[in-house]
Amino acid sequence: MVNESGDIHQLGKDLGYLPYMIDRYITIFGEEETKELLQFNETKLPKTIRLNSLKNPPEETEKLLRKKQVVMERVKNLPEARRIIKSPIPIGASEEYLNGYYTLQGENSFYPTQILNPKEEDLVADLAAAPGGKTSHLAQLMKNNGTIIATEISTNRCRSLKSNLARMGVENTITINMDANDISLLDLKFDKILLDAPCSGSGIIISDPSRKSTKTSDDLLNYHELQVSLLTNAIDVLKPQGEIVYSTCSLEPEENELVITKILDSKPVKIEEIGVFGENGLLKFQNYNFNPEVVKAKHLYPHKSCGEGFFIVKMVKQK
Amino acid sequence: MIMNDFTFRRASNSENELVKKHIQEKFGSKTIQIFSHKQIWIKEGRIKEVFLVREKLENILDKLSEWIYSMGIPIGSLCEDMFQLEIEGSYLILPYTSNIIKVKTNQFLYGKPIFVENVDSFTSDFNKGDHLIIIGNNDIHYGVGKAEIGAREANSAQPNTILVKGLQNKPLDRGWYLRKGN
Repeated sequence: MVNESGDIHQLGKDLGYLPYMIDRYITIFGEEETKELLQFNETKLPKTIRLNSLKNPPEETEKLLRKKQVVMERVKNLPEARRIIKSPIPIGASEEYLNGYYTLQGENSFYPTQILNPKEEDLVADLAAAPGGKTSHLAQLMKNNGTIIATEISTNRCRSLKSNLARMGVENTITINMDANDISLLDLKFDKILLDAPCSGSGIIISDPSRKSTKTSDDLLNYHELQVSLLTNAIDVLKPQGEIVYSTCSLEPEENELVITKILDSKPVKIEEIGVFGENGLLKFQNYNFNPEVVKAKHLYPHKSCGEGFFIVKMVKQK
Repeated sequence: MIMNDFTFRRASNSENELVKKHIQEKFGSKTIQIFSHKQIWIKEGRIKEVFLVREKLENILDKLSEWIYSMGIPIGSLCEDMFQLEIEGSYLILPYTSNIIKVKTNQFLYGKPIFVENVDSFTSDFNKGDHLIIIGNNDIHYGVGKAEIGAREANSAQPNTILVKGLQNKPLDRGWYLRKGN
């Protein structure tokens, strides 16, 4: 007789996952919930847009879209977001989109910027910023005041970053083609930093199914090293009492809790509670024991938040 | 570590004058208002990119000039002392100019020319070769193009006459963001 776990492994194989991924999801979620996660990843997310007040008053944009028979609804806790229920026009290619009146943005990806909560006078760094969805959200929250330094290592991706920021009417941002590990070379101290780190992307399989099979367990450790390095260098350029939000779209503890545990051991930062729904950070995974403070971090798991998976933690630098 | 191949610098007096003069000559004197509390910065290259930057960013820019990829709003380009207004530059001057053509269809967004039959209205007495801002329904910005015939001729032209074309070297319609922007 095939046990439940066997069924899940078969399901994972049928859906194209590498076997190690299923094993670890069973460890984190248990068998039933792993099945829910895999099934959720086979569904389609509704499109969500962010109304961009830098280019057009949001109520005006809503009117324009309703005139074109676009049906949308508000999203709880996200004032700038509208979930698209029905649209007879291509929502990612409309005239309003091309004018930057709104942009497409996954619901859960609003949270890292919202939690960072930049003020109008702040000097903010957005590390690994392309394609610029979060950068333009930061600029919107800052009402185009203050200054954002947006770094991006890839010259090609800098091009799309520049183009998206121009379309969205972002005026307060300087984009820099550099490895964020070298951020100290700029000789600046930041009030706030957003590090939405490069990651394995296991939280966004619903939008990018190729992630089921392209990242090995060794890749997770490589990402881990990169993330620790980026976060370490970011904290070094944060002002005392400055705030940093670290986020990934990965479900993997090596890229999340293990990174934060290492940082808490080596850097003068404290985790702050964030008022967001979601599951607390894990205390244990396989052979790893994490710093008890990481329970203050949040996981937005895809099947539980009905969106793309995110891990989010906010830290404050101590004097 | 990646160093910039290009240098960012403040526009020289002559470049400042050239850009402002071009915009005012082509689109009217009120367009000078787009430069209020802003500075022009140049990214060096064979074709120089022209950016409009908030004065408040200036302190930090001096410190970072060797690192910058882009900043503020890209408004156009300079090549051999000729300024070319681009998409976002034309968006900024839209409230201050009367060189506007309102169209009934959106083919301009696909890099296509505008025919007389597709024009809803125009608000100035333009001549052949003038630069015109194109808007669609609800006055939404489409881009900038060049008049193939003058306004007087347009009033009596055949419906299939081309009134406005995009520019050959670089299409300046918002559809560019989908075709090339990402």
